[in-house]
Amino acid sequence: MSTALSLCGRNLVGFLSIACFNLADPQILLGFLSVASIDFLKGGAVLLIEMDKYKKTREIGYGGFGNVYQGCNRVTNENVTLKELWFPDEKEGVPSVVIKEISLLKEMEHSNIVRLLEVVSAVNENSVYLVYEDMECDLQKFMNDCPKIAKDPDFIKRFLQQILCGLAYYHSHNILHQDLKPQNMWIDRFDYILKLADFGWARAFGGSFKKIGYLDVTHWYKAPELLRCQQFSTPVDVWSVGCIFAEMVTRRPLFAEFSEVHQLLKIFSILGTPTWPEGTTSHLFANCYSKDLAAAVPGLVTLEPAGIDLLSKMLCINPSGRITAHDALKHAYFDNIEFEV
Amino acid sequence: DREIGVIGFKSLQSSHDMTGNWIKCARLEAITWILKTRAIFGFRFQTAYLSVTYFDRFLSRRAIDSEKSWAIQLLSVACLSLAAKMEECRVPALTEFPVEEYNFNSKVIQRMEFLVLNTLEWKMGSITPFAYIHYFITKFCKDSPPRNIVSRTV
Repeated sequence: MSTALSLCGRNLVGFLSIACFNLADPQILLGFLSVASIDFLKGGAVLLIEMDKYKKTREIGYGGFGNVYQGCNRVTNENVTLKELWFPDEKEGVPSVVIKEISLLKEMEHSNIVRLLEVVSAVNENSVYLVYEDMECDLQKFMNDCPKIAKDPDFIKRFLQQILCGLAYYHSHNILHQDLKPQNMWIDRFDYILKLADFGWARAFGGSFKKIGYLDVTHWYKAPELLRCQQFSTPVDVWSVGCIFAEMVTRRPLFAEFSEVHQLLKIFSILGTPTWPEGTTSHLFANCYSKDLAAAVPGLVTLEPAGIDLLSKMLCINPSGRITAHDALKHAYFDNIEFEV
Repeated sequence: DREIGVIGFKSLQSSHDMTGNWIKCARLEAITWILKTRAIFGFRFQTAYLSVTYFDRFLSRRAIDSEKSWAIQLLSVACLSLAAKMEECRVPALTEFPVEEYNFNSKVIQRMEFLVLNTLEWKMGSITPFAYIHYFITKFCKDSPPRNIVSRTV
């Protein structure tokens, strides 16, 4: 036993202590010991991929069910993003929402979606860490650091196309992202590949990913039906992409109010107030539906007419009239694109 | 070291033949337990089916040594609990699963859940024949699909 212990090091001690103090049956203790030792000795088959494999370097944000860290693999030195998920209730075991979400994410494989490398468990803690590939720069930072490139119409087009490709993939799997914003999009500065990330696990836990040191922009990209707490579906993501599209062009957030109510009023003041099916229209804004977007937002003058057309279809207040990610990719705006993604 | 190594879970290549017969019996017992427990909690049949696929997938990647019937029992609990979490609206607490001979506390079961999840690489959303059964039943008996046909099919 002592040999095995010394061979297996910390992983085993953690595992053992749980088995040891909570179980009366000594056989179980022995069994668990061998579980850990045999896997360690054989090297190939890893039993529980432990958090020891990674080092947290700094906290970068927080979201739905725990913090988000930048980290690195102790062996390969490869940088990763670590998303912590902790379980409040031990009696329940691994929560069903965690199992469902991770098994979904495991199926996601797309060049415009940040890859989930593996899931590691933290011994003695009621949590797991999702290990994602790391990318050095998000879209927000990119727009600040490299304004010249980020302002280039071809780059905007190329980024928008990649956002929509990733989103169409999500939607084709019946997955809503619900937390699209520039801080959740990673850019590789070498080949300008953009990838969607989902660190807040918004759809599972209703929590948005908030980056440390950034403004809380949770509601800036929220679709009106979300702000109004109405039923919603995939169109909410297209709305967010529309807001980000406009932001890339004008260099400032399209709707950036400090509260959700103001946010909704701001949307109506720019786009006009729609007639909602239930007839709950605010009288103040009646009859100003579908304003000319280019006239309402002066910064958009640099955008070509096809771009304006696509943007106004993405920012259609009525979700059922909003263009889908799939159709947006076929829009004339992308006809003359020079890059193939 | 070797002593310790041969008890409990093993990598698949070693002593595969010796355990063949034992594992067949153990699997049968596990399935019996899963079906009995399914009835107790009122789980759907696909939940039981799914848990058996987890059980088999797990054993195709890791072998369990004979004489370790507690390990089989613990594996059955973890598989059924995981399947219930994928399929059922209401999932019992880990300690509510009726295990007669052993006393597994929730921490140990949760560890086993992790072990299963990692072994199956968290790919838990397997499609079972139950996804298609209703479709085919409606195709075959257009007018009046017999009642309880799914359970009878099982």
